[in-house]
Amino acid sequence: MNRNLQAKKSRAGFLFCIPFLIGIFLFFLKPALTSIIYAFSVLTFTPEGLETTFVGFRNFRQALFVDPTYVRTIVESVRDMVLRVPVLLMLSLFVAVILNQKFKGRLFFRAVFFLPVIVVNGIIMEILQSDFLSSRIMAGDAGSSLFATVDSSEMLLSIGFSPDLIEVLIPFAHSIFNLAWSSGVPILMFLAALQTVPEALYEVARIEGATGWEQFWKITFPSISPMILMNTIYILADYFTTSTNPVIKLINQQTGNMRFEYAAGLSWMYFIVVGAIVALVLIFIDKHVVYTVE
Amino acid sequence: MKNFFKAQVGNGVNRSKFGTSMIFLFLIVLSIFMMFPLVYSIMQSLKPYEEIFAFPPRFFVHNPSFDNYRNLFRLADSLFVPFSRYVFNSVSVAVIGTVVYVIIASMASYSLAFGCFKGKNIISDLIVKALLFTSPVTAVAQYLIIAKLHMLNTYFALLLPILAMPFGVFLMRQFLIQMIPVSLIEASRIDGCSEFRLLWSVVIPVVKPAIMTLILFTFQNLWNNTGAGFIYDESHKVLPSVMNELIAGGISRAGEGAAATILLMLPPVIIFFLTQRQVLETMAASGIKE
Repeated sequence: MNRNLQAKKSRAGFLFCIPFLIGIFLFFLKPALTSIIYAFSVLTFTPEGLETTFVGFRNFRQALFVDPTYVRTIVESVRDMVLRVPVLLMLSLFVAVILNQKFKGRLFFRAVFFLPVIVVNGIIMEILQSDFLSSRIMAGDAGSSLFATVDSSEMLLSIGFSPDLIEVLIPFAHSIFNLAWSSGVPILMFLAALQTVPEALYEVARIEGATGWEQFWKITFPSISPMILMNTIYILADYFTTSTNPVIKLINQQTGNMRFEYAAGLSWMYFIVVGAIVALVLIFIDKHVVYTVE
Repeated sequence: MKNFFKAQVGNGVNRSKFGTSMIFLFLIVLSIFMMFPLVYSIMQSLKPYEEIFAFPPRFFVHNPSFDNYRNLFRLADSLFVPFSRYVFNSVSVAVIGTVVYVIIASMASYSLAFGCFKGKNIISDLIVKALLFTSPVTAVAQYLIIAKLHMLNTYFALLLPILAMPFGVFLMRQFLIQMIPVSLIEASRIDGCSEFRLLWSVVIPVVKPAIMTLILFTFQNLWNNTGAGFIYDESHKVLPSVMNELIAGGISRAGEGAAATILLMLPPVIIFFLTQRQVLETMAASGIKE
């Protein structure tokens, strides 16, 4: 009987996965494998389609030893990550904890923090970025992305700040912008997690005289630690793969130059670096995650 | 004594007036940063020409006008294919795609969260890998696959790749694990509930807020998809790529660009307001407590 139940469960479980598996096989695994082949070859365009000639590690060698920007960009990107990911994690947890409390206007603030997630994507971003004024004002400030510098500098100018002061303020504002705008999904996930913490635990703690601070570290934090792990993965993935990440920009540029094989080589090396970082972070955090055992 | 307890219910802790106002200040500052680009684009779209090009630029609009919107619609009217066709393309792709993906993602995430079959962990790992590997390179190979399936210039070219979107399954699986006690699943199974019914009448109602969130994300994602690379046939193009073409005039189309931004934002924002109760008040309403 028990074996039957097991068998039934496993069959059904697998069946449910099939449509998604087909999708991920066709549009993720297969393309990914093809791109490995590209990475080790030279592509030529023939009337019959793409032709690949195996050249060994040439693309990788070129990226590592000839390309002046690739390694440096990756190192910079990783360095930024070290700073950014913990800050983003703390910020979103902090905001989620606040938004989880009962106060007037809570729904309004939740909407404000979530709205960017909905409008921030794709074409809208491109249109905003290619905005004429934005680009003109941004001209002196290389490496800026998003609306950040654009709008803030414009606004500050119109209020009457001096350009010198703006130059100091902008990078600061820029990072707050980036942080705030990537915190939407993490906040939402933390909110969901916070609401599953049993109220009874807090009641007991209050009766025992625990302070809010103690309650947070002894109840809230351990209870939502699985979500902290998940959010870390999400934030890392988001950071490393958004179109504004410098490495992704570099790879996109190569694709734009029709150098698919070189771009494939770059992406695979990047993927290995990113994968290693994520694996390390996971091992470290996973040790501290509290899984509730029923 | 009674009062003492009353004050603590809800908020959990007594906080000083100062602390509360600091937290509000923090929220407000952050909110300003959040809303800024939105407000800015609205302002831009309402500015007449002379204000858009004014120097020094001003943030607020002085003489709001709908000229930009009017011009945009005039441009749209002059298109070779009727504008309504693009709207139809976009809406149908976004709606059908959302429905299909939500069904597929809930099924997959359910089995990844509560099923027990070989390879479950491998698939979960794969999803995380796929999250880390959104790269323009797979786009080339994806194109070849779509071409081989003879699906270039069809709606399928826009719809099929979403089957592989890892984010929704990742999110749903997370919500399911957080929100549904394993004991509920076990109890239903022992009572002889079929897996399909378990998903449909036990799991889905409980995680309705999560489903709403998934709908929102998926719609937004599909709505913003330009279909670049897969669609060359004019009559199969979707709104974002058409809008992009319309405003390709650069400087001279700055105002129309802002108007297009606002118009494209509208549908996802409408969906947001329709689902916001569920999405924002989320799981508190699920009624499942351990």
